[in-house]
Amino acid sequence: MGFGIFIVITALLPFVIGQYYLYVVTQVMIYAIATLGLDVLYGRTGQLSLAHASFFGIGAYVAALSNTFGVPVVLQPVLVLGLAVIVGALVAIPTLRLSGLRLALVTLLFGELFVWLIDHASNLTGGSQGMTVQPLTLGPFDSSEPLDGYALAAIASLLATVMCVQLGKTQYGRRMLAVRDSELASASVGIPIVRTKIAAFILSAILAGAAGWIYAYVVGFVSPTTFDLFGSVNFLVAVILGGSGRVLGAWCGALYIVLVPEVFSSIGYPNLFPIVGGAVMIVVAMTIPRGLVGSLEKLGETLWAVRGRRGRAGG
Amino acid sequence: MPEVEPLSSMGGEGRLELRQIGVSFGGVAAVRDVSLVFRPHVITGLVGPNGAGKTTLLNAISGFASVERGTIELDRSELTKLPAAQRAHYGVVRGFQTVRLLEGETAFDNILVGCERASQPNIFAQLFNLPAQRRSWRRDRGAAAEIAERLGISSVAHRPVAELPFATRRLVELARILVVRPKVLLLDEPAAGLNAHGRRQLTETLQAYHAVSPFTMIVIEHDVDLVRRMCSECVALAQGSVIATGDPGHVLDDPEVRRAYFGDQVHHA
Amino acid sequence: MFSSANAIQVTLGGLATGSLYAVILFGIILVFQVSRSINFAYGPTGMLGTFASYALYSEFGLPVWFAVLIGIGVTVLIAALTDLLIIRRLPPQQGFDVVVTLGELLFLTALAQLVFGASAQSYLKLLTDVPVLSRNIFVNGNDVLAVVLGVAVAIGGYFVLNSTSLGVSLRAAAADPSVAQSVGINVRGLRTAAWAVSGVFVAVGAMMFAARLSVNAFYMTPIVINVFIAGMIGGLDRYWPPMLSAFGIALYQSWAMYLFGEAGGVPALFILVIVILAAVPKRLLDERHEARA
Repeated sequence: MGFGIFIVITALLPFVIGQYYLYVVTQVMIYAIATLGLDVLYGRTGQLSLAHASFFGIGAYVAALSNTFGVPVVLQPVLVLGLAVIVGALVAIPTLRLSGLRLALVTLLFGELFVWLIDHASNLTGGSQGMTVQPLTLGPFDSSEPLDGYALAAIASLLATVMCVQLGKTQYGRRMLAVRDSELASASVGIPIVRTKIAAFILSAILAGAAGWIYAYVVGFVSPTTFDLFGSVNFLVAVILGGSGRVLGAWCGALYIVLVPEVFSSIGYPNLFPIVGGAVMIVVAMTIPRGLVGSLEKLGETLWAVRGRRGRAGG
Repeated sequence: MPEVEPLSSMGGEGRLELRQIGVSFGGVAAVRDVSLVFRPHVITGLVGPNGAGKTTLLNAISGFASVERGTIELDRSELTKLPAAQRAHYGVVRGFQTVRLLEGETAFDNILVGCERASQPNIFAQLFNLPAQRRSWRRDRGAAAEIAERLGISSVAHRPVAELPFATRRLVELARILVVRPKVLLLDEPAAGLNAHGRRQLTETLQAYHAVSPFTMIVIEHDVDLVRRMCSECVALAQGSVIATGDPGHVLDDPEVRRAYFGDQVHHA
Repeated sequence: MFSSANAIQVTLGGLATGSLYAVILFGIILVFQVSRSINFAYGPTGMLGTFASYALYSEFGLPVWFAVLIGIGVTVLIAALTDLLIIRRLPPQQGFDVVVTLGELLFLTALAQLVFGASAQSYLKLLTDVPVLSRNIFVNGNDVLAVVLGVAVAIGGYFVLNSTSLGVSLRAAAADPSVAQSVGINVRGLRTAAWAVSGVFVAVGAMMFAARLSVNAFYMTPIVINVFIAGMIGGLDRYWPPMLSAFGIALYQSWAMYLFGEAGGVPALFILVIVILAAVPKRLLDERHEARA
């Protein structure tokens, strides 16, 4: 039923709101896909990655450079998928030997390497100045048209959401939670821990890469500052704010990532966003560690329990 | 009634044989030269004073401690070098003394995790909810509900485990193990931390389950009465070596066992 | 191009950088050994102190030594408050210490950008303009000071952690907080103190680096990443391995940059980490594990 409502709203929205807001909603959808990716890795599997923005960037630069190299439109998604699987697996290899903090540091180093690559291939990528991205056109479809970009993002985000909800009902989804909560218990029931972590890295890389690919075409411009350490930390803020391990939480996080900077820009203080982002992360971790959605769920459960008790007492 | 296919598809029924097992930590031998045969479907009690090497032996069997010498065989398959997760797929499953659960999840989801050992469709079938995935989803939920019912924890199945009392958490862990029938079940002081009522309930539950679908079981327990009630065989360890085996009454009354177990504290015996 | 004079120059430069890495790393080791936490906001903490001291010097005309002292004080205060206001009050959930200090990293960096502007600035000279040796090899006073500080901190730190009762208390507090508490060690106070003291080291390191480069709000990030990597390679629960790694990484990187150009630093470090991860036995890489029982 939830998906039905989602589809109806998504279909009606372009008739209700103007082009600018449609563009903002498109961005929310794109960031939701990427945030769902980090949620799979961090929220569900418990692996802290500081390279998520790099995976987002890999997708974005596939789009940006495809024009230069003349990669056909239909091949690009395959390329994004392939790169995400390969690089995701490569970054996951240290999980064979590392966990926790040390793993986070290796992913951080990978993120640095990615930004370094972009900066030092400046004749291709425009370096730290960034580059414009030629719109994606296929028949009547043109990604620089707000409605077309919106449709692309809507379909992709719907797919990603359905997949992540479904993941929660599968053996792989259960393995991830088990690996996050107790590696000893996981091993004792036969869960292959390393394989689960690598699968989570790959799945999260695919989601981030796909989101980045759409992002580049919709926004029309890419620069490495979007994909650096601070970009990765922002994704982390989104996951934690929304609520780790919850699909709806990732959407809330994406709303925050897109809307809050818009609000600050509109009142003339674009620099405030990172400050607020840092503060949000600290405050959320200290006060509502389950995130917005997790806390609402908890509240709902408590109210339900109280009502149930009253009902029994009264009857 | 959905039934979970037992994973014991490799034939055999759970005959576990240890040959001259040796385990040591930093040069100190915790288990030395232990050779034992656990017969299929028999519940064996593992007794001995603290530091006798009981938990280490259990860890060695389940793959949580690496064996330096000797071999471990289950129905003629050698397990000695296999990691813990693979041994679980052979049907060797353990509980933890302190109970290890997925703290963020409900009791029901904790039980579902135990379905890992049942065969599952491939990842594409899982992610795209193909018919194979839908079948296994129904099967797993059915099996989890059934075992929750049998262990009497249905009413708390949808509560987060972090909120449950210890005795219930113990049952949740047991349900996670039993949701797919193990070939060899290893329990480390399952009655520790339970009151008299909880202990009786646990033993009755285990015995009832064992009577319906039997498996080989090795249980470390300090409660002598519980061992007498539940186990049909008994192994006593002291300082890493086996000092007596056989019928529980016989082993527990063995003078050497009593000396090792109770030291000089027992004067009234 | 390649000469023995160049080689000595590169090695000395790496040694000076490594010394400052060691100074900064000591603070990380101190915090880790007493509270098992890592402060990802460690670099920006030192950066803010550095910027504060520069503002006091250039805007308010304070004498250099006084401005530097106040700057160190600012860093110490931020570090102590991080523990007092945040780390202490976290819900007992593993990994949140990392998450909140990442948030603080974002917060402090953005704050510095807002207050001090985004463009790079020069900082107090701190002896960089005093030549010490110069025929073919150029060494300045800052380099000498760095090496002296680095060696002093490394050796002094070792004795404090291993041969004093303070060191014993620190390790007891880390190993088992409740036991340490029961024998009369004020664990919470000790932790906050360790966080505060770590501020001194990162402030000194940050100022010494600032004197050599023109700096913006991000300048400490790559430096602290290198220091974290040294800690990761050596293991933060040990002492000499990470300390020596700090020197090793700096030497390695200055040679890589000399041979492959300024741009060679990042990929060289990446390759080093991959090689070490592949080569080092797993038991040396093990860290906090679930207790077995």
